[in-house]
Amino acid sequence: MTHVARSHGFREASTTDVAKRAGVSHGLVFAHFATRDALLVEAITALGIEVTNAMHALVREGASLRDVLRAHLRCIQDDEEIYARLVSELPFLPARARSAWVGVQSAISQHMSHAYAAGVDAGELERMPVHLMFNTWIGLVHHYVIHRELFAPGSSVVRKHGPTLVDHFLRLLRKTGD
Amino acid sequence: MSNRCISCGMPLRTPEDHAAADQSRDWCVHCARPDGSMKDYGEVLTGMTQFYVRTQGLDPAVAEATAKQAMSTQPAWRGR
Repeated sequence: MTHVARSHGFREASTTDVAKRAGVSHGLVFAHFATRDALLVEAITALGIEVTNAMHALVREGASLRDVLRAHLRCIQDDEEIYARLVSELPFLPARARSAWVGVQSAISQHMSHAYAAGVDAGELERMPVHLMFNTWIGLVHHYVIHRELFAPGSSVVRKHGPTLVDHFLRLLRKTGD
Repeated sequence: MSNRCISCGMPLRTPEDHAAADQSRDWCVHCARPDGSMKDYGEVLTGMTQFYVRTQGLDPAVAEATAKQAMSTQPAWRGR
């Protein structure tokens, strides 16, 4: 599914295309997945596990927020094309597919929140609700990824702008004093 | 032994991810009570809902519906 989504998008990827890409009969796809939606959910879940596993491997106990942000960007950069497809199409995908991605995002937020809390406790970062901290980061990154042709035509927007986004985000969080 | 929690789907990567650090239990530490037994449906639903609200700021009703949807695909709660 992911391979087909790369060229057709998640909304347009059909079970016929998936069967053709996998070199199996159309009927065999339905032997494993009752519906196209079930296949879609499995593909998104697998993608999410890939991202969270990669983050888990990159983020060590006691990692700084900068380390976690870099790890997140590296996971996105691993397959920027498919990530951009997914996040731009997500609002139009079935509820089950959206639910699968919510779980992934919460896992990433959780990773960030540990490092963020350490920065707050050390008096370096402003205290704010975890979801606002996370959504600010996601909003920034997703804007660049979805519109990557505006910011880095023909290349990786994460590679080109990632370090700037990390610096900018951490500057926003930095405690400035009263 | 599953490598994902049968209740919430969280990857079980280390022994400590399992309930009571017992690798024969295929549910995670978050879906377990202090004695290691698995929480019931309502307890897990409440925990996941609160997790989505805290980490992403979802509307509570949306968070609950999302948690129900996610749980319905897990082996422990399939068909609920």
